Amino acid sequence: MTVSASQNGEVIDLGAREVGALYAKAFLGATEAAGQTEALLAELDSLLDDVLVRLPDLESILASAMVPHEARSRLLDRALAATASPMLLNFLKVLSSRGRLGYLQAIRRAVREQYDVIRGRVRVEVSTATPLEPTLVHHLREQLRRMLAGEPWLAPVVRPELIGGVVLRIGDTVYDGSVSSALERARTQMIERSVHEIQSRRDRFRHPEGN
Amino acid sequence: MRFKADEIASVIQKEIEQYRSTLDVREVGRVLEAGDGIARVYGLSGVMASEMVEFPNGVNGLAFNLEENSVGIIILGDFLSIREGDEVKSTGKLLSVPVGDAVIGRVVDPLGNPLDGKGPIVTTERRPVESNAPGVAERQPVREALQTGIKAIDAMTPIGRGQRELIIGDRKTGKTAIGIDAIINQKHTGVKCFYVAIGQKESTVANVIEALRKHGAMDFTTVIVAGASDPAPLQYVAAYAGTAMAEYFTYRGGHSLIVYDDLSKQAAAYRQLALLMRRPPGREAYPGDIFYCHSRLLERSAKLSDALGGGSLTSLPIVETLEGEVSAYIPTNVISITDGQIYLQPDLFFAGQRPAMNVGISVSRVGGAAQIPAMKKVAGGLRLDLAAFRELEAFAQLGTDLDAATQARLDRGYRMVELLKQNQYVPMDVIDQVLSIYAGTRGHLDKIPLVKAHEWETNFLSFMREQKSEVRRPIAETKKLDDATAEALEKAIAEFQKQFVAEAPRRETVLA
Repeated sequence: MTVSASQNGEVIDLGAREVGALYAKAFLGATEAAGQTEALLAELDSLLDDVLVRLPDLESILASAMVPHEARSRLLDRALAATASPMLLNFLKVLSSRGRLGYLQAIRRAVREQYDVIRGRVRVEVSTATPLEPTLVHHLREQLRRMLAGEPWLAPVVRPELIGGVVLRIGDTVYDGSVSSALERARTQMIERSVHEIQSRRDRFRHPEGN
Repeated sequence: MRFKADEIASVIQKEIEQYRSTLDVREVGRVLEAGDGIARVYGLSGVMASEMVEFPNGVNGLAFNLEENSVGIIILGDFLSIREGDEVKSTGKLLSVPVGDAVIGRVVDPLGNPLDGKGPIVTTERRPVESNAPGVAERQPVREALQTGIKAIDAMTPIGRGQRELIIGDRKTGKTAIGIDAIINQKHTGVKCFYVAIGQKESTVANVIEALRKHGAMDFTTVIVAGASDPAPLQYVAAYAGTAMAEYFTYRGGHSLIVYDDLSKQAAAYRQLALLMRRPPGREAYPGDIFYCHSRLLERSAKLSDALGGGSLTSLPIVETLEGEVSAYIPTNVISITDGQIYLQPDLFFAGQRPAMNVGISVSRVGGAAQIPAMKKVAGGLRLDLAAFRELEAFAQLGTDLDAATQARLDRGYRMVELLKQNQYVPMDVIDQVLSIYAGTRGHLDKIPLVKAHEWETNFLSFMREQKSEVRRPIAETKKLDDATAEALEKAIAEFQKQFVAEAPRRETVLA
């Protein structure tokens, strides 16, 4: 089942995530055993960001079911054998033989997530109204290190609509200390209190029995 | 009146001073898809089953399906304004509704929002919609009567406080009428009533509310409406919400009565949700837990133990059958959960017998324990007698000559059937019922022409009330019919018979 939705402009595809998680596990298993994870991850990044982004046609050819595995394999050999490490090439060929080359983005995302878990890193999305100053980043990291089980990995996002304060997102949990949501809470509290006040004054003039 | 900016400013200033800034911690997810009353959400990894979640437009939802990669949410409200990618917040709370005296006399939706235009429901008390049914030690046997005011029911299938009596029948057989009459009859008894309308036309519900108002029943009744145009999640939740409102009084030692009109529509709404959530369909495409859906609802009706205050929650679930098919899935389920059923038949309805109750297959598993002793005494063999009469009647239709004894039994039967007919919205006091059934079963109507049976009954009851109150009073006070009272009653009936016969010609001239 494929379901998708945009998240910060990015598509959530549950089917792709499942596939990605599976291949990422296998990929990390192989690279960790060889002790080359960092290097191979950099190669994978470079392949996706430097090559496939510039050559979208190549990506569609690799993902296409119309192109047979042999042809794709030959293409990979010719294009990457000189530069890519043998392990990455093998991995790409495995993906090709299973027809999963279209899931490279999802696989990279899953590899990053799983690698963070292995290295004890926790990804924290930090949203602020203005760009963060380095001293603040340092301070925040220190605070988070004490709070979290692992090493915080900060991903800063600038959202002017927050007005001020900071919003942290760790996994599915959001710690909202922004000015905009504080204002919103103050607003609802004021409305609630006023409604209660109006109602209780109205009740004083009402007959106690019935409406 | 003039507004003063200074005053307003000072009020706001005070508010701001009192406002304490706290960090808002929430768990979030994102909508993958939404529609038809459900949404699929990515994230919300720590959400609990049945936990309430909040969409950005303020609409609430319930976590219904917890899957490996996503969460299925049922949306309790407008699902059209929910967009793909919206942020969903978990609230850490279960769905609850406002309860207490503030909801009495109101018409509300299944979330407790007022629908009657009488302003907000001001109460701080809330109760979770889903709660556990009381266990064995927390209950006691049903032993007080809940009078419905309908002769046929109170005499033959008595309902006790804390009982669950199913009302089942085809469409247009008077199922709702029984529920409404039972509610109207609770006037002055202190029983709080709740009418849950599920999947009905709004016009029908408006008529019911109007009928309740006209007969003074809205003073102690709450109507919970999830109409046919409301999304399926609301129709599904309505029954539980109504029960929560009723339970509030039960657990405070009070008595409440709830009418679910009807559970077949609730089951259909639940089926819709289950299918949209891709839960595997079972018999008649209902999900596997449809039985649990109804049993956990109806098990909440109980007579509580004295330690818990001795309150009770009586429920009258209604189920609609198709062409009298009681062996369909939902009817058999609900029949097996409830403590008896009142079975209504279209042919009886069209033959003018209203309520169109088939006494042969209608039962109450609580039985005589839920009757006052006087009623138990007079109506003891009534059910069997009527069943025997139906048999004899079928036989007599063959046209053979009947001996005098058989004819007499037939005559008695016809008159009893006539006596058990009752108009809508006129529930009868239980003492009147006792007197009327006593007269019928003891053969005092045998000589009265069939067409005059009703007139005889009406006059007899007013005669007893106005002229023979010394006979009626002991029955009303002790709720018993001892031999001395029975003797006095016999004498009173004999006296009335003379009056009735003597006054007959005069009445006819007046009528002419």
